[in-house]
Amino acid sequence: MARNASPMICPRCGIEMNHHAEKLVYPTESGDDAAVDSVLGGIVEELHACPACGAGASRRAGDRGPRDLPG
Amino acid sequence: MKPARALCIPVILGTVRQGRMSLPVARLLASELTRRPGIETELIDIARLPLRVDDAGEATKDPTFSSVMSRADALVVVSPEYNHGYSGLLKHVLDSCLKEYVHKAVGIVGVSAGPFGGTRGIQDLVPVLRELGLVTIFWDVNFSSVQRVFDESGSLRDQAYLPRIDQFLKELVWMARTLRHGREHIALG
Repeated sequence: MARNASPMICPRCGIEMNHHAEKLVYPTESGDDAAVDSVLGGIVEELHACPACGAGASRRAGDRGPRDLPG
Repeated sequence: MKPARALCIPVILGTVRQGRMSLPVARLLASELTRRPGIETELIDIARLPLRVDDAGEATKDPTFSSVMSRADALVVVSPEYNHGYSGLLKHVLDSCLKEYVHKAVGIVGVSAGPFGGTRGIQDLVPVLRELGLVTIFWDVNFSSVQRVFDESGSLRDQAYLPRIDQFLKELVWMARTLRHGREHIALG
C-alpha cells in the first residue's frame, strides 16, 4: 500500500486506509466551482477503504480530512 | 486468523410497476445468493424507497439505501425492459448515490415479456453503471417471456435458469472478492 502524504485514518480501526480511486464528479452548487480542476474538467474525489474492516471514506483531492464516511 | 468478512451482495428490484414479473426474479436471485456460504444479501425494492421525485442525483439520497450501498461488495440489478429501455425510476434510485459504488461489482438480470430477455435494457444500462464507478461483469441472466417462467405462486417452472444463475453468480462473487481486495490493499497510481 502506497504512503499518502496526508493519509486517511479509519475512524473504527485507527489505521491508514487505502487510497484506491479518484472519481471525477461535477459541481452541482455554485460554491463548488472553486473546487473544479480546470484541466480534468470536474472535482476530483478521492476514495479510500480500510484494509481491516472494509469501511469506505472519501474526500476531495487536496483536503486533509474525510469529507464523507459512508456506512 | 480472523474469519473472512462475508461478502455483501444486495439485489435491487428495479421497477415499481404494479403486477411486476421482476419480483419473483429478484426473489429467486436473493434465494440463490443466500444458499452460498459467506454471502449476505437483501432484496431492495425500489418501490419501497422514500426517494423524492422533485429533485435528482445525490440531493435525493436515502440514508438507508446509501448505507447498504456502502456496505455492498457487489450488486445484482434486476432490470425489466420497458419500451426497449430500463425503468426511469431505477435510474433515479441509482443516481442518488455515487461514492458508495466505486470499484464494486455489478451484474444485471434482464427481464422481459418478449423473447429478448431484457437485452436492450441491459445494453443501455451498462454505460450508466460504468459512469457510477461500478464494474460490470460479462455474464447476464436473461428472463424471456417471464410470464411463462414462474407459476402463480412465484415458483420457478423452468429449471434451466438455475445453472445460468449459478454461472452468473460465480463470476459476480469472483469479481466482488477481487475488487474488495483491490479497494482495501492496492493503492491507486
